[in-house]
Amino acid sequence: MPETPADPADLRFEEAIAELESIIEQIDEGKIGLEEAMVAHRRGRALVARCRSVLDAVEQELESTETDSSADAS
Amino acid sequence: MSQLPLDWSPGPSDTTPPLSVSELGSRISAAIASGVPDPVRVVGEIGSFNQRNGHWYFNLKDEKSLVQCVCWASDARRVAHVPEIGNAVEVSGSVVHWSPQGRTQLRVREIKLAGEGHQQAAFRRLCEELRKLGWFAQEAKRPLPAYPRRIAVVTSGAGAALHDVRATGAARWPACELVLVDVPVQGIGAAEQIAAAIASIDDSVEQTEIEAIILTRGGGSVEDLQTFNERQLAEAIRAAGIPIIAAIGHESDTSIAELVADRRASTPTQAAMLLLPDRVDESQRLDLLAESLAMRVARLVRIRSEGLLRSDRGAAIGMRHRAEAARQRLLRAESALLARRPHAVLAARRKAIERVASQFREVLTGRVLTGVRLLERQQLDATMRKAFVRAAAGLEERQGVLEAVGPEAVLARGYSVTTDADGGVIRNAGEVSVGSEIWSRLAVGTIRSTVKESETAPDSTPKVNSCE
Repeated sequence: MPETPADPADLRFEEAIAELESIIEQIDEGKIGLEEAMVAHRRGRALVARCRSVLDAVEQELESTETDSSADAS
Repeated sequence: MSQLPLDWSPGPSDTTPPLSVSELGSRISAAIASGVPDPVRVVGEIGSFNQRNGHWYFNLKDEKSLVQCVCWASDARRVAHVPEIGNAVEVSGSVVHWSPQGRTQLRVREIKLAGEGHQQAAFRRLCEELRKLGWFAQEAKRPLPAYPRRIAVVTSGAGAALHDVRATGAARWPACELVLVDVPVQGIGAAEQIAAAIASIDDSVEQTEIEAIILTRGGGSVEDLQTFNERQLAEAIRAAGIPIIAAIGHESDTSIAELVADRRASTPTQAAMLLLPDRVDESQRLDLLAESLAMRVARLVRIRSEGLLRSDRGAAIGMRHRAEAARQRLLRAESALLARRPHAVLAARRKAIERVASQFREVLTGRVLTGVRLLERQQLDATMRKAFVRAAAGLEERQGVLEAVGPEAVLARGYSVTTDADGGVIRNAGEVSVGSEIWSRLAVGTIRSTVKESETAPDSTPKVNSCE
């Protein structure tokens, strides 16, 4: 984990999920202390929220595009 | 020439009054009129030839005779070839007697050089030559303009051909301007003039904006059409850059000019039809084109929009797949994160602590128990000892009682106890059989005996059997 982690809102999906997976890996290695685990978990949850919001935005855009397309086709 | 069949009887000269010269002349004229066909056709060879004011004066002769001939300019112009001395010709005309000068002449109206055969031979020779030069080849032909705006009609201003071309042009494509280039279409010099007209038109297309030439004339005799078989005209047609369509004579006539021209038409009307589009046809064609264009554009638009839609859908599907994959990845990560909550770490820590605490408890409990057991054991010992002491005292006491009432005391009093070999106490004589061994315990010592006889007393008093 970097010294001063970036605001999840500034991260692209790929960056966010890569960091999330690296956090999981760190936890899996088992060398993480309880306090660090708390911090990592909090960070992980923030990253999950970021990823989910990006996906939701993509989903919404796809829905509206498909609606437009079918409206054009008819 | 044979002698004229004069209607004149020689008779006796004395009785018939003589004729005056005039009378004789009249009679000669009358005899010619009645005895010579008019027109008469004569073959012969040109003996002498003179031109004056366009009139031709010549002799026609054969081996024995000669006739004077004249061809007035009006007729001479229509003759394709100027005769030369020595030419074999066939002439056609009328025999006239010119009384004032006493001259009998053949007034020639048509002259054909050596008949049809000569012309045909010349025609074939030129055809062959020009074909070899490639002047008739289709590759040499220039394309006709599709929608000409101005064309030149090279023909006689007085001919029917001009009328036909104009009528056809007006009916089919009035937008095209027809420019008449008036030329003689037969006779001496006609080919030269036509050739000059074509060259002139071709030289001035930039100024006149003439796009094509219709070269035409109506039907006529073979002689009339000779103009269009002349090399001079063929050369002019060949040299022109402007496309030329030729329609000479009737459909059955073929001229060199037509063969060299870019297109040949059978009649003046057909020439105009080949060159000018028909406005009715064109209008219908335009309608069809417009319709077809509209359909094609609509189809293109449909295809393009379908393609766009397809690629749009494809992109959307691709995007959806990617989004789904990303969602799955996130779900995995999220679930992994959930599984690694600090609770788990905490639980592990707690478990470890519990384990330590439990071990501690176990150790502690063990020790306490050991202590308790020790204590308990000590207490038990004391109690046991007391109990034992008590029991021992009781036992001694009970032993005394036992001893007092026991068999020893009875034995001491002289009783004995008899047992079988197994130690079983024998209480009834019937329990033993003759010959068996029995043991008798006394107060002091034991006797072994063999049973000789046993008898069971009727009373209950034991009876000692006799023993050995």
